[in-house]
Amino acid sequence: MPQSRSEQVREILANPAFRELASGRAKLRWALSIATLIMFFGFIALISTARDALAATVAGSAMPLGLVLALAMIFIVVTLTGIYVQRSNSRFDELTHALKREFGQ
Amino acid sequence: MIRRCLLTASIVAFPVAALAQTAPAKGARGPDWIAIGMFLIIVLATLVITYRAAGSTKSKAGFYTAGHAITPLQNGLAIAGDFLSAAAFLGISALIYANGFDGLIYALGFLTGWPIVLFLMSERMRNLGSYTFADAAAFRLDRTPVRLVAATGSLVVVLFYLIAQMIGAGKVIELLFGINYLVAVAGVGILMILYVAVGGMQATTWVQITKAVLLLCGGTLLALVVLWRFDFSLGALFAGVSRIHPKGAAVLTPGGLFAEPVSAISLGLALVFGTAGLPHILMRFFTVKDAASARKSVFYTTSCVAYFCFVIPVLGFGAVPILMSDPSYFNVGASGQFNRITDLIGGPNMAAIHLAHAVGGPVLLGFISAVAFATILAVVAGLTLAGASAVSHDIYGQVIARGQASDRREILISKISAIVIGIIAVLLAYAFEKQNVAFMAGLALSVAASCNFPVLTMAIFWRGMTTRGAVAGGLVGLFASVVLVVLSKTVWVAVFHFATAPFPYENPALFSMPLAFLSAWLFSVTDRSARAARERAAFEAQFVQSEIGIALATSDRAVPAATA
Repeated sequence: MPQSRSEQVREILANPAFRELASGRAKLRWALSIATLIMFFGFIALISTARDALAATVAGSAMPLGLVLALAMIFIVVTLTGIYVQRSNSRFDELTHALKREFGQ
Repeated sequence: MIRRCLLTASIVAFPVAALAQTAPAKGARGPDWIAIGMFLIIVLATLVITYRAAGSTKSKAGFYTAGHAITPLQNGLAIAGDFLSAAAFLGISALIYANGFDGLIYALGFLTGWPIVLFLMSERMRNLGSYTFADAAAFRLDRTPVRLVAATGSLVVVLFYLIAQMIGAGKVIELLFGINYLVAVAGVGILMILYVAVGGMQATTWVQITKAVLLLCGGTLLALVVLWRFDFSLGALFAGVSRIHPKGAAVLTPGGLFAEPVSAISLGLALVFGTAGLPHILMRFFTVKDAASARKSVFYTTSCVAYFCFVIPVLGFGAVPILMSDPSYFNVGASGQFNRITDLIGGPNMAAIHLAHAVGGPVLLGFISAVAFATILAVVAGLTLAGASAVSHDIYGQVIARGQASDRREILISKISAIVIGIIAVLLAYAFEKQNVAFMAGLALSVAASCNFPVLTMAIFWRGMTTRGAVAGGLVGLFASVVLVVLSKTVWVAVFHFATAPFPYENPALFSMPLAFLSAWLFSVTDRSARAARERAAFEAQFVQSEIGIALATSDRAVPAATA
């Protein structure tokens, strides 16, 4: 006797594994998105307001601070995507597979 | 001084625009046999790829998505190939050559779009859709109006981006190989139609992978040779830059391009969220088998784009001491004087190409020219396929045929659409050759950020979204972008020759994006219809499928897009 779709949806929504997956991934998703946007638009704001500070050279090198920050941002962007992918590949995929086994066709 | 800054800003505001405007006839090279040989090898290789992919286009899944059988690494490279245009390679290295630090911010803006694509779009798109991003947007909404809005957004983005790319391509090829502009544009048009109409997504993917590998290898090789010139010391490189650049040491620090916060943030929004709303990029998530593969693809893409963000400044900054000290790369005036930025032969966009000649002679010049050519082909092919899919899958298959079209018929319509889009692009690229098209790439990104992105994200994340909200949000974003771009300096002054522009900023995203979100919200919450209630109630089933990717078998209502 197949379930109706709304019954199945209700059952999955109430499932503890699904709740852990959905809330855990939502937290990670929004936290990382906000961090990324604050970093980029913060940097843009800094460029248009504190140009002189960014022109100062970093102690012990010929590199201006702004250039060092810009290059650092490239690393940070890759690190943030890496964090998301790593967490998803391990914990979230595990939960997804378990849910698919339980509810999938 | 301020006027000069603005002028520079308008010239470099979108790299493609600058590409499109630089082609003094005296700058054209004669035939360069090494470059032409490598160019022919690339064309031949892509045609072999297309021929071998021809068999894969018999089913819809094969034609639109290469059978969902591309691996994450392949797809990651293909997305990078789809995304990194000639404007990114030649345009941003030219921006860094001319403006130093400010050019780097452009590259950072393009890069910052990628984590957003990963966190918000990639997995849910793959779980909810099959062929185009409209599948996900229209998942629980009324498919006719929502798909028409999404397809319109897609086609506007594709056409403007395509024309901007084609004009740039025609100019670059004219300069590189000394062939006539119309022949160059028509040649690019014929190749992209062949890839898409004959080889579908399979051929497009492999052309993009080939291009991504060539671009990364070519860029790395050129960067290594440049760094070798400076004994691998960045200090020595930057010291050389400060010594000879007309702006002196200031070129290493923030300049005028991002000095005005409203313009800067508006441009940043277009770069970041425009990337997340480009239909040809979003379409690529359907070529892999599941959401986990889509997510991994974006990680590979982000890594490629980030790596590119390190390579490009080396080329742009490296070209400063190497080229500016050698008058043979400039159009030298009668008095022996030349402007070290604007008098570069072929314009600043040729900086990376001249750099290849300066450090590696004709062989490296030929190789890098061929890489630039491959770059152009891969991007225009992806755009053409996205445009053709919007016509055949969204407008014909889902709206006109109500999901009942046979695979054969839908694919035939797609192939015809690819040919028509290709011909339109060639004709418009020819018609606009002498026009100022600075607004086109900016408009494409702004529409992607203000129409596609709000409709898609609100439909997949917000329970309250209704069809009325989606249509209102999409249309407001689209019209606000177009109207504000027309009223801005890039069209009002540069194209229509009025004295001053009513809209004072270069890019409308800061205004058009919030307007689109606001309209989508307002027209959804005030929607009291029975359809709206059904759509809100359908959110939970969509939410479950978007999280775990299983299509719920028994249905209270059919979900056509999700089951393919």
